[in-house]
Amino acid sequence: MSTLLSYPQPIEQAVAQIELILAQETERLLPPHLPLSYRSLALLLLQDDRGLWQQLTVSDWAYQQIHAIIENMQQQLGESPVAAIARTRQQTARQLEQSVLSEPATTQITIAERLHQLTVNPLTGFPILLGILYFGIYQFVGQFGAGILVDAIETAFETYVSPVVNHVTAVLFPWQPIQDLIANDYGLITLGIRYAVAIVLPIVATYFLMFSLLEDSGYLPRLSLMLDRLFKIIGLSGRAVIPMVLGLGCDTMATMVTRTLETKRERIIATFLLSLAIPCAAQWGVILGLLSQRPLALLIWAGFITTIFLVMGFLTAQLLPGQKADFFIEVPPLRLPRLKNILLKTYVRMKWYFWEIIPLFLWASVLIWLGRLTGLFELIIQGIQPIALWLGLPAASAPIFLYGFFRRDYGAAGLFDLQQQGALDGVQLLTAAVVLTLFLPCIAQLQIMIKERGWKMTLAMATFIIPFAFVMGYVVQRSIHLLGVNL
Amino acid sequence: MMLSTVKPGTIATVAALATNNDAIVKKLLAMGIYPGVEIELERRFPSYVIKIGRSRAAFDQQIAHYIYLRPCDC
Repeated sequence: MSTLLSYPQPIEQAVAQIELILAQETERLLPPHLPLSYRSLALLLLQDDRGLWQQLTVSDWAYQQIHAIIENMQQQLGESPVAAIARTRQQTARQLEQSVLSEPATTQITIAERLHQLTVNPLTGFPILLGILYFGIYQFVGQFGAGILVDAIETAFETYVSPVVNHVTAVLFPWQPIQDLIANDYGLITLGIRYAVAIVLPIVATYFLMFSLLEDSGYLPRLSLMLDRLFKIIGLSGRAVIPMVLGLGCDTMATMVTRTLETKRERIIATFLLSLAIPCAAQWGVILGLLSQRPLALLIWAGFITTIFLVMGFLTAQLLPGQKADFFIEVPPLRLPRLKNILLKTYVRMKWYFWEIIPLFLWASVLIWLGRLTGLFELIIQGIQPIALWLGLPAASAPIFLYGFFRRDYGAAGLFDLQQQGALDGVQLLTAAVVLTLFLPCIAQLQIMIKERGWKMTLAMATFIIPFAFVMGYVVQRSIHLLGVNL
Repeated sequence: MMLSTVKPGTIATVAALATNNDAIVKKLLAMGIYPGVEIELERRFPSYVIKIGRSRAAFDQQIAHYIYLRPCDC
């Protein structure tokens, strides 16, 4: 028994009784990976720990005995055992702290304290938020990562790697289909590896670096508390800010993180918005690059997607039944992040991301190759072509939507290729960017959605999103033409 | 008095957590908010931010309604 913690008498008594009962059980109580002492077990049972009740194997006799003990204890205690146990622990911790800590009499207001006040005061906090978005996200990830780095690596790849690969495969394999599998326009190396290394890697790396920096500085909870009221409008709470911001890096990872949200309703809304209106870093990075010469188109794209995010969130929140989300979060002190930790976190995230996507990029290349070889893709593309034409896009853009399904960024990267060839004007670029942003999430995200939300929910979301994306593309295209805006 | 009715800068002692929602009570307890503890309300907008000892917590108005205060023991 712990000498440090002693709970109110009715709890201690009940713990002792439950310990005795558990000790009499002959079967193994818990799976081997949960080595808990009888005392810990008894305390968790008193607090009605659902997870533990599910894993615990006890005889019917013990089960009834334990329940009777808990009932008896509750009558004597007169308050929730959860509260009593937590209070005892907190009080002990506080006493311990007081006995070892001496504080200076004068309290100095530190820089971290001042910064905290600035970040949570709406008058200064919102400008700081916009500043972080502009410099951290737009300038660093958008301009530096998606612009300068992508250009440099892409050019190097196209200059030094692709021609060599094309040449070597042409010499080694005299059969055209094998050459196409490895090299040329859609090959494993010239398309799969090139997209992964030259386009996605620099964007995602710079984004994860920025995200880790914000995470370690303690800024994210402050962002949550600043945006809670806004997020309540779309049926979410400030806690959902973190998965949403993470979604701007990788929606697949973010969909997984929606687990941290409190209610099922919140998890559904967040998953839906992530798959509909939150572009991942690779996607918006490429779109930023595509539209950087046309600031007005970029502004319209950003404004339109933000509006969709808010309106669809609002409507979903109105339609979905269930309890409204509560918001509470611990606010840690602001800290100067350690470079080593940030680099390590970025490295771990990159490693996860890279091993997750490299196979998918390669599979996509193989599937595209197979699809083209069998003529199946030709059929699907022919099916999409009328939609592309309806959207005012050239027929050559149809493959992008098909490939966009394999990876969000894949489609965007395909758009990048098309733009390099000068095949699209401003309105067409904007339309394609809007459709691709709203369009179905990539295969990896779809898999995670099925895992987290189930088949039915995922199917319902996909059934809504596909036509919605095309219709919204049409709306944008028609509006621009009707208003006579020149992009 | 409720936390949602006091002015920023107020230092007071938590008197009760007035909700039957166990999940919320557990969260508040985990953040160190329980009857008898002294808290300071730092701000009410855009969210409620309170100081408990050397740590801070933030929550929305709904949760602030659940936290009842009495004049501080200090």
